[in-house]
Amino acid sequence: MRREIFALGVVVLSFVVFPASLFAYQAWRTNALDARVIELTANVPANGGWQPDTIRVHLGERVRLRISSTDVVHGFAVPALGIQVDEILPGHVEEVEFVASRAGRFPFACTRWCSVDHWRMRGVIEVIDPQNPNPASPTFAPPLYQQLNVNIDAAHPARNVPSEHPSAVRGAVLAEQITVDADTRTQSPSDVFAKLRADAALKSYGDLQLWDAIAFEWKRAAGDDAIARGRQLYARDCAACHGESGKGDGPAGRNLPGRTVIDASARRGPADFTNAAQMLGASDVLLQGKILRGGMGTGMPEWRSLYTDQDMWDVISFIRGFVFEYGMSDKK
Amino acid sequence: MMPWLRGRRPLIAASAALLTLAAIFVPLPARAGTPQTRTINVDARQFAFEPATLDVQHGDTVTLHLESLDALHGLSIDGYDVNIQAEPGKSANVTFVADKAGTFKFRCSVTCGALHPFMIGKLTVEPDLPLARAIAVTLIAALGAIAFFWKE
Repeated sequence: MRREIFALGVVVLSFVVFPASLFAYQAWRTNALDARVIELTANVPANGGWQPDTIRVHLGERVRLRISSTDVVHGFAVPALGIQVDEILPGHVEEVEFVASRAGRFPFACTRWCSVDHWRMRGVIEVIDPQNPNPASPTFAPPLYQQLNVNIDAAHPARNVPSEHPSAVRGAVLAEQITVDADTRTQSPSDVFAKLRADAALKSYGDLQLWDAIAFEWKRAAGDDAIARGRQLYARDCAACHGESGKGDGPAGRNLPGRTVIDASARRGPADFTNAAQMLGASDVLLQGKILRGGMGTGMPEWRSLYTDQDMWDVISFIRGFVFEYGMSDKK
Repeated sequence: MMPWLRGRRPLIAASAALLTLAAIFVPLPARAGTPQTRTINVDARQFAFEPATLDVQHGDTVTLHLESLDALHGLSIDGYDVNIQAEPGKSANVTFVADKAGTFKFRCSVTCGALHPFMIGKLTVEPDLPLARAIAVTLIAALGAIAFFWKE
């Protein structure tokens, strides 16, 4: 009889008390946390992308994201919240904590090339204010290209093309003699060239000298820091399709839809940033419009939800360097 | 048949051992020509390298240019201190001197998906003396064993 009671005790202990204490410990641990824990799984887009891809939290909550990958190396960034995780290795868990301090929708994205559809791997964090769960949608100022009525889908051939790529290095020497009075954001380099060429005071300078001065002016107006930052963004987000050398020959851009279907004669792929005839006819605003909207029938993603205006200007000033030889070291 | 073998087992064993030692330790010229500098482009994609077999000569200075076509991949060579990573838009270079002869596996060093463990290539540094020596030792052992255990 006593043995029976002992055996019963063992059974109760192992099948009731032990599991119950496990669950109790889990519940206590979760409650003891001052943060809400959300598991976020990264998959390549063909296998579902971010799961979940919509994360809803309440205003003021402390949120801890536990991010893991099921397949390849991914990255994670919420630009609007200043969150960046460079590497999510399969088999590891990366933890990120933040306080949902303002209501709104904050897009996040993968930042490592994880497959051909890498750029589709996006999601959104929704911070909801319980007092005001359905706020009026925020109003944004229209982007600059719309304010200025620039048609970003029109062809933009340069009116003048230099005989070779202009060099900001040579232009730096000329900077004291040739004053380039231009708005480098809204004017295209070829328009600036036309204006300088028409200037009687600059008659003694050759075409290439004027171009060199323009190249230097673009570099000066952007600033070296912006170009260096643009280089990093370009390497992270653009180079896979547009190529490390800017020729539009990156490995991820080889089989884009614009290249293959519908009309083979009108093959369009990632833009070639070394093509002076195209690049010099475009103003920075026009390039910004293309980047923020995307589309163009080439598979170009939109970047408005992930890039700040400054990010875009930085990338554009770096891209200019493929035609305007900046003479900056590739190492950064 | 073959009476001269009779009673000479110690001699057979000793000469086989000598030949084995010779096959392992005899210094052979490591290469024929002068060392070259070569650059090899390797494309990585899930789950293979292209090309998957690399042949170089002993003493060559080899530069590998690794380009990835889909996700983050790595390339590390067993036996050499080489490990680089590349993803689309960020290719990688490494230069090393092929100072060890033989056949070496190179592998993807970053988990790149379900079949990542099978993403393997082969680097042959010629002349492949370790392989030649291993073949010689095996043949000597086989012939020696036959002679040693021969029965009339």
